[in-house]
Amino acid sequence: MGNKFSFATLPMLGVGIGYRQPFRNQLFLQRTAIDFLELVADHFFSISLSSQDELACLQRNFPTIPHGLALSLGSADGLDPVYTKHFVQLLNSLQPAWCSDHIAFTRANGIDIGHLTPLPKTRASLRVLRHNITAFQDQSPIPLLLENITEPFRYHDDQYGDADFLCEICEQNNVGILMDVTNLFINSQNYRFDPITFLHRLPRERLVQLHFVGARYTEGQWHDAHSTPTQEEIWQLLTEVVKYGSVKGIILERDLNIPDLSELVPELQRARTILEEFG
Amino acid sequence: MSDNEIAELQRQQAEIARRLTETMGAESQPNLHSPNIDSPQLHAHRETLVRKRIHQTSTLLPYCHRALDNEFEKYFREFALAHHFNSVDAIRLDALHFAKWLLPKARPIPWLASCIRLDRTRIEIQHSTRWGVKILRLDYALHHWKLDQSQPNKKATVWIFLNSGSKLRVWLWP
Repeated sequence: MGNKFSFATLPMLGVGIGYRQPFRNQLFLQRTAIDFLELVADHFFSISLSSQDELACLQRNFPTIPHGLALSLGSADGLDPVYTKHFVQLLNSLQPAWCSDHIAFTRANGIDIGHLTPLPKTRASLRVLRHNITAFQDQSPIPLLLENITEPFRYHDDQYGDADFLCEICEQNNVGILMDVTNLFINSQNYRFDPITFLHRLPRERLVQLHFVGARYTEGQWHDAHSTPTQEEIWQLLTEVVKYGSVKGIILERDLNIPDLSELVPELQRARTILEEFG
Repeated sequence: MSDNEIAELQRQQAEIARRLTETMGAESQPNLHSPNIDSPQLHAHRETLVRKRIHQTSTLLPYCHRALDNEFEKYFREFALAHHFNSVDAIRLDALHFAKWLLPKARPIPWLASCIRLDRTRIEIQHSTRWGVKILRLDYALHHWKLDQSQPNKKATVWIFLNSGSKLRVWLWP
């Protein structure tokens, strides 16, 4: 993908859900409430017939966006060639409007941590990200978005502030931002910064997609449990992000305590109203 | 990526990965000191990781979870001391490896062993319904199986026919 790619040219996808197996049986009953699906890429790496059939069925009926969990773009060891190959094959098959993964590392020295782990906000991290993003984009022309994660811990040797680090990533790489509004809310609460000030520092044309879901408060900290309805504070922040950015798609990302899909429809409708009114 | 800053980041990430995964025990309190990270936060993150694995595994091993109840977490933490995630298909493999690890411990308790067998079979069947041919990895002599999808929009039923000694056992899933 050349340096001249403009994220403003990406299509408007609307509002959708992160596809999970429990939703499968009800997906078509709620078809009108779902504009597009975000698929966890890792779940579709298999080339078996049943997996292909499921993917083909979803692809026939919905615009689909693959979302990676373990590209580990922040890994100083470089990309895992096996994972990257699977991801690129999926992109070749789906030809999505864009794809996404996280600003994090999940693997180091041959150990798979199994979870998104934050990077120090340093020049070295920026160089690693640039190296890995370039290596990935050399293999796929599909536009890449990077998602902000919750930070369960921070490093003492950070050289950049939160917004500066994200701006540098955008400045140095041809990537868009998948803003997880819930993660932004959680980090702003746990580390006591103003999310709106943070938001207004970002390049607005790069704010392409949003994630949202409820957060959980336990033992004096907010957590991204992906298991509860969205709190009012997060709705307000989501509205601000839509007003400021160039949002093309919003995904409700529910992973645990998954209710009947019909119970999530009001949240999807509210997000659609916000996108239509302020997007 | 070969200068000192990158090498230092590589060393730091390796150290964090090791500390987050190698000593996942309920009882153990490993030294999580890192000059760049507060130990309590790193410890909390490690705890989040193991809880995530326990939750995912208990979802995939419902019979074991029900049978072991509060002991499930204790056993998993013991298992996690020496077993890590694998990059692709990690959650399913984690549960499968845990069931395999648990089975020898459960042999003196027949009812628990049968729960584990049931769960292992369930995982393999789940896998096979999503990924096809791996049903052949069942620990039983497989006679044949069929997938009933006669009712659209209904949950599919898998019929499994197993050779068990001189008898043919039929399992339905779900």
